[in-house]
Amino acid sequence: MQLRELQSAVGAFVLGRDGASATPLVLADGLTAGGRLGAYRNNTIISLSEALKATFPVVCRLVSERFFAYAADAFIRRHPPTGPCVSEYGGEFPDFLAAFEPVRQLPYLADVARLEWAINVAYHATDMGRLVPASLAALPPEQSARVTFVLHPSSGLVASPYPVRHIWDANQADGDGRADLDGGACRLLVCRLDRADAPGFSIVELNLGEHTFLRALADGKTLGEACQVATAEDKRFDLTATLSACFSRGTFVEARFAGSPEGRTP
Amino acid sequence: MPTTRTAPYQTAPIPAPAGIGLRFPHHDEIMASRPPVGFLEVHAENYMGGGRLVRDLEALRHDYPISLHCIGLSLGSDGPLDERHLERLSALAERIEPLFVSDHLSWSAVGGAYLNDLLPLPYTEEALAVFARHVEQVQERLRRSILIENPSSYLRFAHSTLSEWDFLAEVVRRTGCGVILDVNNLYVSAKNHDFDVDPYLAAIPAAAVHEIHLAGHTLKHVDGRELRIDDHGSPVIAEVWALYEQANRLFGPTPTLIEWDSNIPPLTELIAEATKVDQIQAAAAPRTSDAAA
Repeated sequence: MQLRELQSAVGAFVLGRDGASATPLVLADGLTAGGRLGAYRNNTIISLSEALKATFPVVCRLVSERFFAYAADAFIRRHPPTGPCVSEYGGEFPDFLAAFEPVRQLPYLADVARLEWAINVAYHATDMGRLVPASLAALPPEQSARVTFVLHPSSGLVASPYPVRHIWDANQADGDGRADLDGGACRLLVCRLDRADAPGFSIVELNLGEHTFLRALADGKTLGEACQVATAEDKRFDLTATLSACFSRGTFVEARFAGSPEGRTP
Repeated sequence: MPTTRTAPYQTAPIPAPAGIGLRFPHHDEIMASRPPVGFLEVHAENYMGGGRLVRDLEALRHDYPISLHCIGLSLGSDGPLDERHLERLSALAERIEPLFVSDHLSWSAVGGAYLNDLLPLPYTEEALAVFARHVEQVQERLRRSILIENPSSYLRFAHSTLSEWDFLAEVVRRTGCGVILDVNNLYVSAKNHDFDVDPYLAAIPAAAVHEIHLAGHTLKHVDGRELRIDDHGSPVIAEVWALYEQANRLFGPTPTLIEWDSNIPPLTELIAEATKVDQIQAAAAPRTSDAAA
């Protein structure tokens, strides 16, 4: 028995994919081989389920602990972690919930999960220096339209037809759990400001123009293109005010000229 | 870029008081009160991002030696080590300048999936070669020796040809790595597999034991038989304290850590456990071997 085969068989047992291949490899020693292997399956599923609960506490509160454990179990078997850091586990959970038949009557749930995932990303994102407005000031106006921005890795955009911010607020530890599901769409930027008064994560409400603009920049569009789509979506879009707010939040870490990845701004 | 330190870290002597595992629920309190413990140990994988967790750890590093205890190198997995993970560990170690870097005699990753548990190895020559090669790779990358912890286990593989203690001793001999002797794990495994701890303790090269771990475990009944599960969720039991005293006599005063990972108690309770370690070490005879120098 090669190590590779053994680990593949045990892995399949632990993830509930194959209960038969691993048992002959294990000494029963007074229990059953399945009982012994089952201890590892339990540890794995329970520890990962706890990790998901820590990342998605509001989703858990919305569906109950018992149902959350059931959904997490199904998710873990289908999407086991692909890296060793548990705080980075669960990025596919919102999409999984969106397609999970038993929660079809909770259409806002996946978007709440998207907000919680963005919060998790913001909290743990790598530290990076922020771009200051002065670094763009030297640019001639005709060039500034061709600039693209790299967003700070803590930045996450969440848009939903449901008032997920209110749902999230109402389901914090001190909340009463009550939110108006007809409260309307919301568009959010989740980020980390790294300021003494805001050390963890921040949730910023965006209007349609701001959200369209940042979405376009996050997708690699130039400043000119992003401004164009934002204005087309929202006549009230105010580029100067939006950029100023971005710089004060440290949203950008780098500016590049379109088409030349090495061409940083002066 | 690592932040610039305002002052060099203190290089502490071998810590006399016991250490505690730093866990998220105690972060703020430890930051605010800086309790008198000998060192702090963290799971390295929880500090590989940015933000306040890592900043807190850097701040604490000025007041405590920090031990980076890995749970995700998966040193026993067939196939190559996770290069990105090794890179991130290396960056964290440069930033924190840890007292120790450690991981377990176990594996977690298979076919690209991480099982988030410490699975036992078959104790074979093949697994020994894989494990020792991986330890060497980590040591070369970090340019320091690492510590390997004996695992708690719930099963043994039928085709093992070596005992766990001979396997661990041979890893030490081949790689020059050190050992974390987890006394609770030793007790749990000895009970689960009905072996005697004395040959185990005798097989571990005394000079390689740089740290001792203590924790609580839980007793379950599986298939009508007792199975001890290492959940780090309760106080250290009397039998494990007795085994710790035995280890203390064998290996001399050794940096000792209290780990508590589930049902995490108030910080004062954790520190009270650590105080028991200090009392046992103080009561024990001083180390007589020349290794103490």
